[in-house]
Order: sequence, then C-alpha cells, then structure tokens
Amino acid sequence: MVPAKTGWIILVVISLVLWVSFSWAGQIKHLVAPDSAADCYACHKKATPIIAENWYESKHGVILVKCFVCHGQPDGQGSVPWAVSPDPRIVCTKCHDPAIKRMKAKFGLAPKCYTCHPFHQNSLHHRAYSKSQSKK
Amino acid sequence: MKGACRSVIHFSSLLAAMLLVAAWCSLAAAADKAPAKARPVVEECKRCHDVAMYQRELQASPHALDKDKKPITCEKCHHFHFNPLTSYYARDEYYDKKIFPPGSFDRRKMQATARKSMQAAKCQACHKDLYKNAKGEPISEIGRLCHDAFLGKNGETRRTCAGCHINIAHLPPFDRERPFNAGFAKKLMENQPRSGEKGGPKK
Amino acid sequence: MSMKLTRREVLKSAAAASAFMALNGTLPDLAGAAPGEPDKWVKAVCRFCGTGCGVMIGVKNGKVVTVKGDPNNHNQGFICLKGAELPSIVNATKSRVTRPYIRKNGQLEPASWDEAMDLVVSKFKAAIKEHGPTSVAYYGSGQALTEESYLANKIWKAGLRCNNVEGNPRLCMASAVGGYYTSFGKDEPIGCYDDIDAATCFFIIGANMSECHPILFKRVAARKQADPNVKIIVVDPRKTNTARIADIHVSFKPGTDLAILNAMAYVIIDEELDNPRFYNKYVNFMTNDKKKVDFKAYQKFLQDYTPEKAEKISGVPADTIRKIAKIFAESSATMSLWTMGLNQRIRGVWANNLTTNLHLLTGHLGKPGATNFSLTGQPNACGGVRDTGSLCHLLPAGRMIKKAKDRAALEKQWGLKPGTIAPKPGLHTIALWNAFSEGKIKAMFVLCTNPAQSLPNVNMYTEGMKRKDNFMVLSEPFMDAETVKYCDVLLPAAFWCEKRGVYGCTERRYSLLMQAIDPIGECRPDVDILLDFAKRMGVDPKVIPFKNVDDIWDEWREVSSATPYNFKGMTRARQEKESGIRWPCPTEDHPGTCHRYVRGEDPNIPKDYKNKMWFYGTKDGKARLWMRPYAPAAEEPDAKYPMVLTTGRVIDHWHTGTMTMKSPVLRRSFPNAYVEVNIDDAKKHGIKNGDNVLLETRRDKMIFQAKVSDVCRPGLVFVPWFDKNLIINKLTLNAFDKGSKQPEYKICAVRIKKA
Repeated sequence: MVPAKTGWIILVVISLVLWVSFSWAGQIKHLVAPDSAADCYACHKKATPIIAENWYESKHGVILVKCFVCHGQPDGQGSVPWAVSPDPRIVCTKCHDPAIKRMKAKFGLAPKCYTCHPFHQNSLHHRAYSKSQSKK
Repeated sequence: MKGACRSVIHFSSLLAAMLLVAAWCSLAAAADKAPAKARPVVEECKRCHDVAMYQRELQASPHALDKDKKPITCEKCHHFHFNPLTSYYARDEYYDKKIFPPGSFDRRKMQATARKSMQAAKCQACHKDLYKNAKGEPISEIGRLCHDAFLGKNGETRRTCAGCHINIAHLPPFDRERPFNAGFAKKLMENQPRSGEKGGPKK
Repeated sequence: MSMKLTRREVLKSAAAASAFMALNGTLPDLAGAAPGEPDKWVKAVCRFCGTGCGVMIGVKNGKVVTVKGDPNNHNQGFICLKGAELPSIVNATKSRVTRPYIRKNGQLEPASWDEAMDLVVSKFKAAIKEHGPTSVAYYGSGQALTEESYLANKIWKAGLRCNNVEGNPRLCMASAVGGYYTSFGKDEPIGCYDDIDAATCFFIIGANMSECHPILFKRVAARKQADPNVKIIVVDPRKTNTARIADIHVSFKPGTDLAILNAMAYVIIDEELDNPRFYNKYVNFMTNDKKKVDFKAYQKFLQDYTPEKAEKISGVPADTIRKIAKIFAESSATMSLWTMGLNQRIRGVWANNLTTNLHLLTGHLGKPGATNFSLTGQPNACGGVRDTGSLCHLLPAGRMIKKAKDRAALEKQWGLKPGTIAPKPGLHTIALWNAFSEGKIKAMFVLCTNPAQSLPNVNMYTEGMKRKDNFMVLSEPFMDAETVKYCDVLLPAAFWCEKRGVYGCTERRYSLLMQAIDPIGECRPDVDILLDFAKRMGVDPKVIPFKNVDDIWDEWREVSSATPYNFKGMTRARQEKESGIRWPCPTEDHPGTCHRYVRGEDPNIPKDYKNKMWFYGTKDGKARLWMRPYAPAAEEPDAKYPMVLTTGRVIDHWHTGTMTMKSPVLRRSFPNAYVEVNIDDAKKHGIKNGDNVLLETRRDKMIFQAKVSDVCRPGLVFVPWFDKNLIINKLTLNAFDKGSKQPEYKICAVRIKKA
C-alpha cells in the first residue's frame, strides 16, 4: 500500500508530466511562407481541405472572418497571438462579448466556447445559408 | 490478513494484464513475419470488411493502377491487423463466410484510425520524390511548401502522408459531396453497376 | 482518518488525468481575466467603412492593446477583420509623421510647427492678395471628424470668403447626394439599419457588401437565416462573395443597369404590381428635362424598356428581369442597397433615381423594411462632409450657396455681415484639381486624404502637384502615403483615437469617438491645426471663436436646429453616455429617428399632419420619379480597347492601404493588387493563374499578376486600388456626372495581353 502523501505526489508528478507533454505537443512549428503568410485559405484549401471547406461553408466563412482573425499569424505578429487553439478570452470576445456575458449570467458556468459551438462549422442549431450546399 | 489478500489479488491481476499484453504484441509481431499465404490477401479481409465497396471505390480512384498499369492491391498501402479476434476468424474454415454484414463498421471512425496507421514508407515505395507527382512533373508551390514542412525543412507537421492526402483511394458516402472530390465522385457514379445490366468495375 | 491510496487508484487517477488532459488539452476557459487585460475601455467608432461599427478600445498603460465591438451601438458587439486589426495599426508608430516637414530642394526637411505654419500662411495670404480668395482651396475628407470638416468649411467660406471647399466624398457619394436631392428634395437616407431586420426582400445592386460593409452583410445574411423566405437579389457584373447568399445573381453588361431598372419598372406596371395609392398621393412624374407629366407619360416612356429591349442592351435574359421585378414588387417590404456601382458613374444620379423609382412605384417606402438605402463608403462622409455642407456648392444642413435665402439664414446664425459668404459656388473636385494642375489654384490645404493615389486619371494630377507655382500643405498621419511625395509642407496629424470628435455613418447615426491615448510625437488633432491656421491667417476671432472640439460641436448643433437636420438634442454629455443617436433629434429626451418623412417618427412632421408621409424637402411635399433614359458610359469598349476595366475594394484593405498595410496580417492577407480575369477570357488570351498581364487604357498601362476565376463576367477585368506600387487610377478616367460631378471609376475601356 502506498501512503497517501506519496500517492498524491506521484499523481501530481504524473499529471504534470502529461500536461507539459500535451502542451508541448500543441505548439507545432508552422512553415514560413513568403509574404502571403496571412492568406491562409489559399494554401489550406489544398493542405487541409476538410477544415478549409468547413470554414468556408460556415457563418464565419460566409461573412469573411478569415483565419488570422482568430488564429493570428504564424510569426506571431498582428493583433491576435498565434494559436492553433485560440484563447476565447482574447479572440471570441472581440465580437461575441455580449453573448458570452449573457451565457455567463444565464448559466453561471464559463464553458469553453468550442464544447458547444463548432467554430469552423455551421451554426449549432441549423445550417447557415444552406443555399450554398443545397441542390437548388 | 484481509489487506494482504487484496494486495495479492491486485498484484496478480496486474501481472496477468501485463502477460496478456506481452502475448498480444509478440503474436502481432509474429504475424507480420509470417510467410504469405497462397490466397490473395484481400480474400482474408473480405470476411469482415466490405471489400467489394472499397474495391469499387479504388477502381474509380487515382490509385486504381500503378505506373506500370498493374492494379494496386490492398497490402500495398494497408497492413493487416492481428488480434485474438482476427486470428480466430482467419482460420480456413471461415474462408468464405461473412462474419460481419457490409456496412457494419462506422467508416467515419475507421477513417481517422486508418489514416493514422498508414505508414509513409508504403507510399514512398512508389512516390519516392516528394517534389514530383506520380507522372514525374514538378508539384505546385503549395505542394512544395507542404512537403518542406513534412520533411521538417520548413516548419513541421504531425501528420503522415494519409493525414493530408485524403480520399485518394476510397470515397465513403459522407465525403462524396465535398467539392475537392468532385472528379472522383463523378467517376464512381459512372462505374456504378446499373440494375439489369451486367455492369461492374471497368477492368 | 487518513486516506490511503492503493496502487490501482494511483494508476486509475493517472489514467483519468491523462484522459482529461487529452480531451481538453490546454484550452483555456473563459473564467478569469485574459492575459494582457486592459486597464480601461474607451468607446469609439471604427476608423474604416461607412457601416460605422462602435468599438471599445482596450487601453493598458497608455497603449492600445485590444479592441472589441461596442455592444450598445448598432453592430451589437460585432466587428470585421479590419476593425479587429486596429490595435496593430495604431501601434505602428514607426511609420507615422511625428513632426512637421518643409520641402526644400525636393526633399522634406524637418521643421518646427511655427516654421511650417508661417510658411503655409504666407503662401495662402500671398495667393489671396494677388489672385483673390478663389485662388486658394481646401480639400478634405469623409474620414475627417465632423468638427474638423465643419471648422474648415467655416474658415474658408466665412473666414476667407472662399467657396473652394471640397472633399473626397465628391468621388464616392456625390451621385447618391444628387439622387436623394432630386428624388426627395433633401439628402440622406430615409430608413436605417433596423430596416434590414424587417425586410423580406433585399435588392443589392452595385455593391459588394460582404467585402465593403461586412457587418451589414452579416445582418442581411442573419435576416435570411432567421427567415429563409426572405429573397436576396444581387445585381453585379461580378459574382462576388456577396452573391453567395443571393437567391438570384444577375450579371449584366457594365453601365446597362439603367436599362434593367427601367425594364423592372415596366414589368411592375405590366404585372399590375404598382401601387397607385402611393404614387397618386406622393409622387410627381418628371421627364428628364424637368417637365412634370402624368403616369400615362411614364408608361409611354417605359415602352422603350420592355424586358426584351433591355435584354438586347444589357445581356440579361428578359425572363430574369421579369422574375426579379416581380420578386421586388411582390415582397411585403423591399430594401434596396447600393454603393459605388451606381454612384461612380457619369450617370450616377440617374442610376440612383431609377433605383428609387422602383420604391416610389411600389410604395416600398416608409414602412419597416421598405426603403431605398444608399450605403455610404467612408466612415464620415455623411456626418462630416454631406451634412456640414463641406462641398463647393453647399452650406451646412442642406443649404445651398446659390440660394440667397440660405446664405442669409446662415450668415444670421453665424453672426456674419450680410454678404460675407460669396454667392458663386466654388470648383468641384475634378475642376479643382484641374485648376491646381494648371497653376490657377495657388494654395491648397489637403486634409486626411490621399489624392495622389485616389484621383482618377491620376498621372495628370500628380504632374500638376509637381509644379513650382502651386503650393500644397498636407495633414497626414502616415509617412508613406503617396501624396507625401508631392506636398510642400507636411503636418503631423493625430490619428483616430488620439483625438476626440464625431463620426456620422450611413444610417444618420452620429457617434462620439472618445480619445483613448495621447497623440504621439508632435502630432496634433486636425481641429487644433485648423484653429491655428485660422488664427495665423487673421480670420476674425468672432467667426472662429472655438476653444476646442466640443465648442465646435455645440455650435453645429445649434446651427442644425433651424433646419430639418435638427440634432440639437445630441449634447456632448449625451453622446458620452450613449452609443450613437440618429438625427433628427431635436431634444435631449428624443431617442433619435428611424424613418424620416414618416408622421409619428420624423419630429419635423406635426403629429396631426394630414398624410402619413411628407417629403418636406420639395415645394409640394411630394417625391419625384425621374424618367431617366439609358445612356452609355463615357468610354465604352471598342475595337482598340475591347474590354471593361473596373476598380473597387477588397475586405482586407481600406482605400489606399496607408492604414491596413501597417497591419502585418492584413498586409500578408492581400499583399499586392492583381487583375481578376474571367476564365474564358484567360483561355482566349493564353493567360494562366499567376501569369503577368499587361493592362492598357488610353491613359496608361501597367502589369498585374492574373487571378483567373469566374468572378468577373467575360469582357470585364477588376483591379483593387489599395496598392501604392500598382496605382490603378493611372489607368482610370476622370469623366464625371454632369449633375453630381462624380467621376466614373467603375467603367473604362481596356485591353489585356499576356506580358
């Protein structure tokens, strides 16, 4: 049997190692492209076509909230820090602050936006501007 | 006394689990080194997987034939998986039986696993030069940048070949409407056997 | 009781912890303050387009660190990608003009404020002494604050007695002004943004809303998402991103929209969808040569514009014209939205009239969702230039220089000797710059605009700027603006949130921009620069008594109260508390006005007025339906130059790019201008995507990289005008609308060749 104190220390150490490894895994080095570095869509249409298509068909895509508005730019310049998974407090609040405050007031929690709202995809409740994908 | 018993049970169950894992791994390793059977590999997969559908998609894909115009077979890209379940049904008596009906497996979930398990070495067996396409023509600027990242020359990527190059051999129904698959989907529809017709994949 | 962990429990917890980490990774949640949270939030308005989104500027340690939408302004917290990049633009201080400069031997040399202003004043005084007040001028901007334009207007017209006051809204909104003025007797839209939320049909013509008014586009799209029965018609020779949400996209031969609009009127009458109850009460039918006629005459006029005849002119199938006309008329509330496609034409006023005609014919006016809504390009063309009358033929609040009654009324309000304001209107923008280029205008004060890149047929004007016998002083924040190359004195202007003042956007909403940070270096707000100029010029201090920007606002408020613009209720205190108010707003407790000319909403109309609507701008209170014919563009394509060149904007950049190019993301999102070529045209010319293409007009030629797509219709090429290294205005022509004096940026003849 492991005494409680040691057990908790082991638990903390393991969690710490795992947390560090996952956060390190999150920071992948993006390639350095010539001056059109913020024209993400042009390249990602070929490189990550599913994400690119999801974005293009989503509300953010239709109203041209381009990639860099949320993700920033690989070299970290610009008004928004570079992030594969952006911080909602920096990014989402620029436009959605009233809705976030309403959510907080109504439900008390401060959930991560992504758990309910698919940021690259069509709105949660029904397809946005479905004409673009319809057969008509 | 009670505490000691519990400790023994805990320890032995842990040991059993470790032994099982070891057995599993060694059997899997052994399977990879096992001599190829006389039957074509794809016959083995048919028992559980909807091979007819996959082959039909393959025929309409850019990977139907290799550069020598020979058909590309399953094991050129996939490696078979070995676990107690598959080794049980791999016996000769199950040769022409259907263990699972077609469409049993969730292709969406399989897709994610399959892509991760595709070994780059198998792709590179034919695609040796990452800066030229299959016909030997230089690739686009975007392609060049992506492959620079893949090779770690400029940035990095977490993905293997199949992580980015999707729908190049198979086209599940949920991917058929994607605009970048339009050509593939069209060819697949053309190859569809029509009712009353002999039809079937073009040879 | 001590808790003992078993080995299994340790392993289980570790597994759970790793699973938890894997699921959630390191995604931060919304609890707790964000990194770099500002000390204070300052309320302002975005620096860019005419949508006029309210923004909250986050300031930390005296520096702008972030920005978010103002939840209480019309945009309800939303901003577009340019607005989101304002912090990096404000912080691009290395590119700023931080001190005055004087050009000596071709080079700009640093100077003190006194040296620079003394030189400016000496040049202006000498010009006025030798050649009279008509030899000087002021060229301002729809991006200057209202108080700046009002002040400049008063200095020149009342102080210097010079009516050569113009501004870049002449290049973008003059035709809309002319259109509203001829149709209703008064400028400015009738409706407001709220109409978007109530409309059941949107008629978007000559406007790429998704790139030029993104937050309004979002509002239109949201309306359609809320009610899929809403119909959206987009009429544009380019299939832009705006057309993505359209039910019908109508592509037509550039310039032939006049025929299409008349044909739509024909169909509406033919299908008996017109509204006699409305037009018999509220509309006069006017011929193109200003004769009042009746409805029968209008029907006869429209015989030349059957859908079949319009098809021959425009290339749009007759059935399509019938279809969109019926949708327009059958919907319960139709809203038209347009921008430069209709305005930047030699027939701009006509195009505006013909669009308004459809509303007058169907009665789609004055009810929620039904309105003819001109979208303004710049953030303060309405509030700053149009409303303050800072154009060569206008006086504040819609009065006109040529009307003696208007001059007298203003002189009384301003406490001027009768006859102070010169009776002859000044030179409009093109005429003004023509005169400057010929050395007839000796001294010009240019403020907050970049004419060396924005004027049409610009080579002519940059050559004129090089002359030794004319003098140009430029107030500009950014060192790399094209016009800096040509100015004689450069003054360091405070930028956007370094000063305080009002912007008035498209929907007649005046919002106060509060100051967020101090001006950098030796920069001064333009109000201070102009007050200094007036003082040194010896303008009567009774005429220019203002001590600060708030004084100017109070006087302007007072002046407006004698006119239908009346916004006396918008005190500074109220502006600081609220997020924009729409005029008319006569008293401090008045909420502002959504629909003008409507009894019960417009405070200019008595509550017991006999009719529901009153177009009080005209003598008889009726609107006017103008029978404008189709007439071709100034330079139609021909054998030598067989294609049409059109210019416009892209979402990533604002105008001449002096601001947006300072943001590293916006710059890289769209680093260079390119020419958009239709796929079929590209094939015909052997042009592939990315190839160099030579564009040639009668005025100049330039090489662009090609972007081959299906956006432009065959026969049309498009080039954005933000790129100072590829100034497309060298190729455009300066033919202008005889009524509005607005140039035809949208159509000129071009030929292309693979370079």
